[in-house]
Amino acid sequence: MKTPPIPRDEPQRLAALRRYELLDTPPEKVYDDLTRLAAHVCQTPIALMSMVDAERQWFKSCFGPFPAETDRSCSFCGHAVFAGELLMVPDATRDERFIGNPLVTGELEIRFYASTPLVSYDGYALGTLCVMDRRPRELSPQQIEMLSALGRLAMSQMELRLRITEQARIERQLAESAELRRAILDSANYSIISCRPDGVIRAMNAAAERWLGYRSEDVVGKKTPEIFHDRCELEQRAAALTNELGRPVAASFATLIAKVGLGLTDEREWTYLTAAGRRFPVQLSTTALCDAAGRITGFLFIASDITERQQVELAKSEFVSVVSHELRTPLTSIRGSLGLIEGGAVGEVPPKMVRLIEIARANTDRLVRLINDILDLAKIESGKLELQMLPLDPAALAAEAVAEIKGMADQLHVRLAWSSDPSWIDHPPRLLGDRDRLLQVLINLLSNAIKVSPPGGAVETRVESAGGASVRISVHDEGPGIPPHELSRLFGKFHQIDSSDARSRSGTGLGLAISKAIVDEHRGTIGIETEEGKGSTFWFEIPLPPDEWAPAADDAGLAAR
Amino acid sequence: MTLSKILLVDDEADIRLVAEISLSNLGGWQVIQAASGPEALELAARELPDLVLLDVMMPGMDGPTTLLRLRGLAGGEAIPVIFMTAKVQRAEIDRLLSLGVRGLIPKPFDPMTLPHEIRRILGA
Repeated sequence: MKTPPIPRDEPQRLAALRRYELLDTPPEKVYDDLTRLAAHVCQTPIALMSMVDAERQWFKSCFGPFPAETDRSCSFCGHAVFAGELLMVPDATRDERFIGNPLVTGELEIRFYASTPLVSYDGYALGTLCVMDRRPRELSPQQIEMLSALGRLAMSQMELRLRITEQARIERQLAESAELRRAILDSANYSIISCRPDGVIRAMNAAAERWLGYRSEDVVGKKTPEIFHDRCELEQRAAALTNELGRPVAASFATLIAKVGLGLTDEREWTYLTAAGRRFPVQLSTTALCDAAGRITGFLFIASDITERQQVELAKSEFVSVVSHELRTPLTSIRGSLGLIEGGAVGEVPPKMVRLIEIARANTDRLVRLINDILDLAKIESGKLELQMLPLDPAALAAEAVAEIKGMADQLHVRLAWSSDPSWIDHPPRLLGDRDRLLQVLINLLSNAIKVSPPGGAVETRVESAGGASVRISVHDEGPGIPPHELSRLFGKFHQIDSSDARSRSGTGLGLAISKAIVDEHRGTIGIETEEGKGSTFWFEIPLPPDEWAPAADDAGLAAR
Repeated sequence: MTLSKILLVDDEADIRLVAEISLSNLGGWQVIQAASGPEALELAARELPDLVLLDVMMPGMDGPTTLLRLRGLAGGEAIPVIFMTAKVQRAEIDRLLSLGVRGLIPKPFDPMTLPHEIRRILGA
């Protein structure tokens, strides 16, 4: 007897066999029908559908008396799988491959064997459809043809079975992942509402239902801003956006998506209205959903309840305001008394005392500035700066700041100069900004520059276009410059340049931090160019509204047109 | 309008003293003082001052309430009022200025320039 040779691609063949998940499964009618047909067509008492596994052959279907599985070493089918084609053994007792085979010598007394291989779509012989008899014989050409046809049927049945199994698995995975997604959405402590591009609500999660007091089925199919949003707030926001984007924005769903529709990020505070009419503040982040081609397919509104955060902020800002008032009251008496003494309003001050009174008064003034700055910073940090954005002329702003600081410059013998962009003569741009706050920034930069200037030095303010889309205001001084190691902390809180000069110590160390915060609130940038020994230039740039962009901003665009 | 008599209203005696020295010594005005809203109303009705310098934050009747009552007094409707306040947040200042006063002096004030500041506000 010869044991069946192992095919060269055995590991891949076994992997292919496993893929069908057929081994050790219960009988199935369709395969039993096929073996019964094979036995009938070939007129044999036995017909099997055999799967050749690593060590055994296992029968998915077995017609006639035969064990459920046998050793691969004594199998006929092992030889058939190796050959990969029709195998017919008319008389096993005369075939050296099967002489002494227990299936032949044992009580089964197999003499005749014929099989057609079951070949997967990717070319692996997984097993056979075979027929056996206890007497030597042959199959007619028609019987061989029929057996082959039945084998192909068996195989296509297996492919079908595989596809159905895979389909079921995919569906199960999809259902599981949908369930998981739903569970995540519903357990999230965010209100999540999904809308179609036209604002009609597609879905909402459990938090949205709970917070807003609606059931999904009641609002799905309706338009969002009309339900959850305050009409008044929507109109205010629409007006602000019209201003900011330089084109009309309607007080409707368009307001909610105006920015994300342009590819900008949009995260801001809104008020949500519940079904019961209660209002609560949310931080709402809006996202545009896009398909592969970049077309907007919908919008996602994710909101967190910030009631508590706002209460904390309010408490903090009230605290700061009360502390500021409480500190100011005694300071008013101190500052007033010192002022009257220093000014000689209550009699002549002995010469020895003059300097001390002056020190006390100057430091009281400094304390007042500190309180003002801390109040400003607290407001900025709690997002309560509330800029009053109005159109303004940047050159006039600079002129005003320079005029206001002139007294200080004269006292310290520093010359002031300022200039504005020559190209603005015909058409000066209108900046959108908070006049008082921008003036505060500029005066802060000017007073810093004056403080570091040598007597007789000059401080030059320039207002110019920065690429056409922004206005750049810079203040140049002839001071000592700033060493590189100081630069990174320059715009931080309570930072002051080391200096032996008392003039530079009279500040609070908060001016640049406040200036940066104000410029940031205007979506601008602030920075410095400096060289030790050669002075510094502090500058800030504020973006212009799009309809104020100078032609220079899109020269390329004009040329192309 | 000639300014000669000023009603100074503040609950802090120290601040009243400082302001009084400034107003009388430097400004040359006659100063009458009140330490509370009700006291101020009584004095205003009796003395009919040319100007009221009115503190905003006072216990009991605050500055804005005192102003409102003053406007209801016979002869009180036309008296110019200037607020003095240690609350210097912009929103608060805007609110106070909208109440019908001539101006606002933030605290701490400089007593050496206070009379000048008052004249500037009154446009005299």
